[in-house]
Amino acid sequence: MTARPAPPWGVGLRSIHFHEWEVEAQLPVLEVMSDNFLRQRGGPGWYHLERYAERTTLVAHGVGLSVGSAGGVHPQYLRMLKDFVDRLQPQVVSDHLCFSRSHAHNSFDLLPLKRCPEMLEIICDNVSRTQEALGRTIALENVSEYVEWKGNTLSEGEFLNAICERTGCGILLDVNNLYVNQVNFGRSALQTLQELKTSHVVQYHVAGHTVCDGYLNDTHDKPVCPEVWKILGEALLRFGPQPVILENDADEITVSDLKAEIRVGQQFVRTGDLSGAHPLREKEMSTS
Amino acid sequence: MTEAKLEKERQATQLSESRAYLQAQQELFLHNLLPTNAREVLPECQWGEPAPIQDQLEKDTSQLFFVYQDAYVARLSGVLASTLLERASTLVGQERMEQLLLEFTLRKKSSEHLLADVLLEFPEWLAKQEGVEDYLPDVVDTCLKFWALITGPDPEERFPAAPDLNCRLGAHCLFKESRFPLADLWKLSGQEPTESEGQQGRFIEPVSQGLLIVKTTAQSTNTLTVPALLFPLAQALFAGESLERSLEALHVECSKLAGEQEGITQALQDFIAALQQSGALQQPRSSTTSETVFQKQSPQGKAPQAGERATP
Repeated sequence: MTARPAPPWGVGLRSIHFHEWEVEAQLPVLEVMSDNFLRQRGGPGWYHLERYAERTTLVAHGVGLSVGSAGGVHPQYLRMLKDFVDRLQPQVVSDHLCFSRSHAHNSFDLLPLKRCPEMLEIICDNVSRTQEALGRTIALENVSEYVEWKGNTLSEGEFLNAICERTGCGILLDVNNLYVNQVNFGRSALQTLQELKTSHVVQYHVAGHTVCDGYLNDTHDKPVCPEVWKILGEALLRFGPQPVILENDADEITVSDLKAEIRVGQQFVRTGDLSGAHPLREKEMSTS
Repeated sequence: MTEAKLEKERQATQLSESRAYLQAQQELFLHNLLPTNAREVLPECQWGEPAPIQDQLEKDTSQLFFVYQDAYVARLSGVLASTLLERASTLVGQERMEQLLLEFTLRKKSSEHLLADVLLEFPEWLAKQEGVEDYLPDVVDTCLKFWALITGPDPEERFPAAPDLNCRLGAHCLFKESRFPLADLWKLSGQEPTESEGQQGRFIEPVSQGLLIVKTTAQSTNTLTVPALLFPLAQALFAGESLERSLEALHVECSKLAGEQEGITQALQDFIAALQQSGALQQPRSSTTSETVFQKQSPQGKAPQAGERATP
């Protein structure tokens, strides 16, 4: 077996864990949800962020940029994001390769983009405006999808490569999303990994999903399944040991649970052993 | 015009056209996020009838469009009910709060940048609805203002000092008066109902009450109950008036009442002491007056002079 490089590990920071992380001797990389802080100037959130910043690497991750909006990115949102980023000084600033809103309507969701040359132009324009406003590069995450537009002419890999090459942005590779799309649309996750240029990936996400009737839903409330760990293993070999962030938004999850899940990932990266991982359900196996 | 320039113009026109086309497609996608059954039960819905999105999607995937519709509903009801409005939800039940949020949020398209901003008009809307618990608009409004207070700028560290007449309410305070026992409700709202309360509903004494919340540090607040008698004082303080001016405001209002002197004096003493202990009162930077309220006590030592002036 080829040795996989050991990445730095991290978790998505949630307010319910603020105090638990405070008393941990060692902190993982912490990913901060930008949108939660765009309006905040003080309070418990910033109190803890400033303390964590002295002890670990922080990365910022957003959901509201809507970089794929054909109507353009919103200047007011960019101003709020810039204030946040300037204050936090995170190592990576990321959002999703999707659209969420038009000028008249915000879905607060990550909606799929049509992958065509015209959309590519729009996204590159939006990414450039964003990077100019922030004064730094951003990373874009591939999203889970449940429908596909007619008229897609570019693969996910081609689309991401083209955006990175034309704007200088990076990729936040969400391995679970690759797997969800593989099951939902038959798009090969490994094929997408092969298509992506190795220099573009700056960070990874791993997460769990829910197995539904005939499709997977990217719910972030389950343990990471073995298939996703395996895709991460391939990605680490191809793109190198960028930070791996575990996302888990389940209500009852504790810091101990998150640490245990990270240990599963570390064990797998080190030895290839997945015995501690969440076993795939039968239905999931049959659709993959 | 050169060939190159013409080509550039042609490309620009093409881009603008494709942008408009893609924009229309995205609008259509957004327009279809309102679940079909919601349209049927929302007569005041502002969404209108959408063109079908299925024509724009690959046939074998369009059947999963409901995943986006479900997520939209869950985000605008479940997420808000369990986060920003958590305290209000414990009073009326999570399910009921989600239902109310759903009725409110699905009527209009949300255009705000942040999810929290969707709720700005929610208290006003609640107040107009029939069958909604009378106190709920005030509690919801307090939830929103509390969030703004907590996440706003932190106060500088300071220690309670004897209040003088030039004192003002610090910037890190929230005052809300209500026809309902808001302070009692607020304290109750952090707790899940007991089994019997869950079955019979919570008994809430119908008295007017105000709530004053003081943000003392990044992570802590003090909560004060404001009796209805002292609303004029709290209003004036919250509007930025000095303690002296606020006491005058109270005096004017109290002069309209008869037979309440004893109650007001005691309530006033208690309230000013609570303001002092909670760190709500701040000395103005330029203040040179050191005369404190309680230095001016009457020979009997019962009531502060300012308080005496306020009584009819």
